[in-house]
Amino acid sequence: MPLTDQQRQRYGRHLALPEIGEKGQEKLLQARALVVGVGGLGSPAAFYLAAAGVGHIGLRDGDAFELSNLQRQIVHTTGSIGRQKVESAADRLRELDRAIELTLYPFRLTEANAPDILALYDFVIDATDNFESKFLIARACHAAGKPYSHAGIRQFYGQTMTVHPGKTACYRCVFHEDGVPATAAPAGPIGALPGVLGSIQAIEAIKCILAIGIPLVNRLLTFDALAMETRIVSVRRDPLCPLCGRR
Amino acid sequence: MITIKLNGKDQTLPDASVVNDLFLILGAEGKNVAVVVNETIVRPENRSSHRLQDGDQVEILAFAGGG
Repeated sequence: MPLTDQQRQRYGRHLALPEIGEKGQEKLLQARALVVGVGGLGSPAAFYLAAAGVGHIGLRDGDAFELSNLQRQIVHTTGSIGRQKVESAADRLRELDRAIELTLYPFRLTEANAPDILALYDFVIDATDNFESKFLIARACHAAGKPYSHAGIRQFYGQTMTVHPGKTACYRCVFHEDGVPATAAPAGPIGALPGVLGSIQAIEAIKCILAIGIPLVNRLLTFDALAMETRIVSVRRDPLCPLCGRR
Repeated sequence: MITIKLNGKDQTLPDASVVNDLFLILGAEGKNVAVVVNETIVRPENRSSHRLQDGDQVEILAFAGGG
């Protein structure tokens, strides 16, 4: 569908980019992205996807919003306390743009419900806060053949990598599952840290939807906020990966 | 002695060091980290046998599960 005059103004800065332009903006408006976890990473990721005009956004989170979340989960407000995170985030995104279609999943992603949910989306953002969910997303995206952006944070440190299942190194290639605690120790993080990583995830989603640039595949980006140092660690697909290996 | 790049910085090690020796040097447990040597993942079960060579690029990546 061609853009309306309103949309031409709203997305004027995108239209000025040769990599996006009108055609790219139309693609974004027709795209569907799923944000799994609407907390520290999911807040900026969902916010920027909505602002960019990604036409359909799924929000998945089973938690209610708590006072201590305000330090970093910026899509929510003080009035969100006690509400379901997906509801609170949806209200904020609708304030940003009523035209964005939202689907809310106020429950955990499970092996059972993941296939039907993932089938509806072009790109998945892993913005979850525990290893169990991260490995589950890696498995579910592999099974569904959906590209995803992994990110994880702790204290002052974060990491992110984009995965095209079956084609590039996956989360399970790099991180072994055995003996890893299901939940991450709630150490920090400093509030702006998920802002950096979640924003990179939004950029990766947009690049993937538009098929522009070089995706962050076969490379793990690490970010050390204390040293203010980013590193790119190249990783090859592991032929012995229990998930995507070719044995 | 051999010199490797550990997370981008020079690290000197005795000859015939294996990946697990790095954890001793670093005083780390070696649990909940991924190890990448020259872009190839070294899984936990291979860390006691994987010999490091002079000039290896070694990355020890902490698991970060927060969100």
